[in-house]
Amino acid sequence: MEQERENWGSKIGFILAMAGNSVGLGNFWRFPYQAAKYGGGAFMIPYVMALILIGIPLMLVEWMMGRVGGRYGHGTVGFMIYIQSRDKLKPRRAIILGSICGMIVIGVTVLVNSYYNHLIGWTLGYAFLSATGGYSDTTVTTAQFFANYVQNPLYVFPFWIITVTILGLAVTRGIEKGIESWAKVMMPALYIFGFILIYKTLTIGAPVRPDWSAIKGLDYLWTPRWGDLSFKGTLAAAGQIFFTLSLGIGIIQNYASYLKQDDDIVTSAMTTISLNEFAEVILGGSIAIPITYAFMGVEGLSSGVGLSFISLPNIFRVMDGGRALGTLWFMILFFAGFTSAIAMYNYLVTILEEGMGMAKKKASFLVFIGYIIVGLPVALEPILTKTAELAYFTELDNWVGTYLLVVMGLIEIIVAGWLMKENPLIDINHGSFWKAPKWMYTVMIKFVTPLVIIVILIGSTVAYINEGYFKAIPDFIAKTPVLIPWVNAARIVILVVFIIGFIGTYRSLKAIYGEEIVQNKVLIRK
Amino acid sequence: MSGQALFFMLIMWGSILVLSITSLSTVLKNSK
Repeated sequence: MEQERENWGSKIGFILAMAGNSVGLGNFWRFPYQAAKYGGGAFMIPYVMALILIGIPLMLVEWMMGRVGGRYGHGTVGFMIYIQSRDKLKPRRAIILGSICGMIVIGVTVLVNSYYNHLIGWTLGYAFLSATGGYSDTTVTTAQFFANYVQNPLYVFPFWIITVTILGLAVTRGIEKGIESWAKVMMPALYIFGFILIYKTLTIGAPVRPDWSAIKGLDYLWTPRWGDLSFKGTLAAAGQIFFTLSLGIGIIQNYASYLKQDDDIVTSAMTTISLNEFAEVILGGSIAIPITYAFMGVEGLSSGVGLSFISLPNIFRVMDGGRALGTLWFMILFFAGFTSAIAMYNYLVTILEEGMGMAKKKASFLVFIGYIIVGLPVALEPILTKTAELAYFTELDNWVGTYLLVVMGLIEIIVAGWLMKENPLIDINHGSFWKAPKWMYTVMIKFVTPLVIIVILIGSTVAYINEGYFKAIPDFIAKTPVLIPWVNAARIVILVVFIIGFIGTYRSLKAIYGEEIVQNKVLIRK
Repeated sequence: MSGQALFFMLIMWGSILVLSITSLSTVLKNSK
């Protein structure tokens, strides 16, 4: 079936869109907290190792799978895995593998965005509140303010709906006029705002105590504390690489499917990785930790993921120019989150377009409705239970937002290393200015990367068992029985989305490659 | 800042800056 596919309009627009795809909330929020927790400078050793051993090979594979998928008129992972594995597995087994992968990626793009859209909505809400002094009342702690925020439908719903609406409008405009245009505005703004914040942070001096300063915060972040570096820290570093590069989600392949067949892969992928690392290590590492250290010392860093919505507002409301800086900080988070969420949104629109022949506008509207439905429990849990533990969100994030990314990455690298008919470097290097060396396939893609991912997966499984995530009532809600139904609801939703994802992918594959599956041999090649 | 912290920071920042500038300029220079 021949399909007219859109293409990217310009190289810089495409690079910015891909960088936006990778640069997400985790660059500014998760990375600094993880690095400070797991050994500072010492954390960089497993982090860089994971980048080299997992990040770069998997990124090249995902770009290659995407561009080849685009050649066949496909922008979704189920089809891509089927095409790449059908020669060695034979079509009847390849369709099962393709359907499993399609199921996982649909699960991830539907359910991660069900809470990620809320996070982006919170950043927009907090940007508004920063600008208007909404959390400046120092009689209310910022932790209490955050709890009030997530329990207040008048805050949660408008900013969430605005976010999903803008996402939908942008996707409806298409690849070049929608996604690319937004990336061309948001990504430069993100870097410029980041530089302004770094300048303000590093010149702030020691406003509270002489031994607390932004420079000392940088010192804390970068001094290697080898005793804090553990296997858990290594797992966190590897997880961060998956998360920060948006690997195992299917959205890199989706964007790459809009490449022209002679477009460069290797140099473009390396550019995307380096722009992402720039945003993560240089910008992300130089704002939250130093500014928190300057105002609250090392104890201020212990709030972990609460750094953005609890610690930093505590600072913005007392420092000179705090309103403007708070607005810039939350706008950075908004831009980072938006340019990643738009890729997940587009993935689902692509499924409806290519799997069901639906027009983009209609597909985009249906995804909008879908995101509102799956996002409702995330919004309603704190409002109805009067808690701020976000159990439904946490359960989804533990499985579809973390664990399954590694599973998906493992399947992709095994397909590239062992199931493709030809050496994947042929496709990776085709049209590329920089060329991936032979050992990238013979050593990395075939052996090292899959083995490292297997170790990470085993380690993650053991950690999940120890932390009680496999239990009927997970440890993190054991003391809050009111949240048990929300965790169970999350599990049911995951199961339902998986069943729909598997059946949908299987039927789509059969509709196009039915004859191959009947004859169990490859008939369609492009 | 301690020497060790500065060393780790400059190595990381330097590598990322060099890779960003060379890859971005290469990809834009060779774009069709």
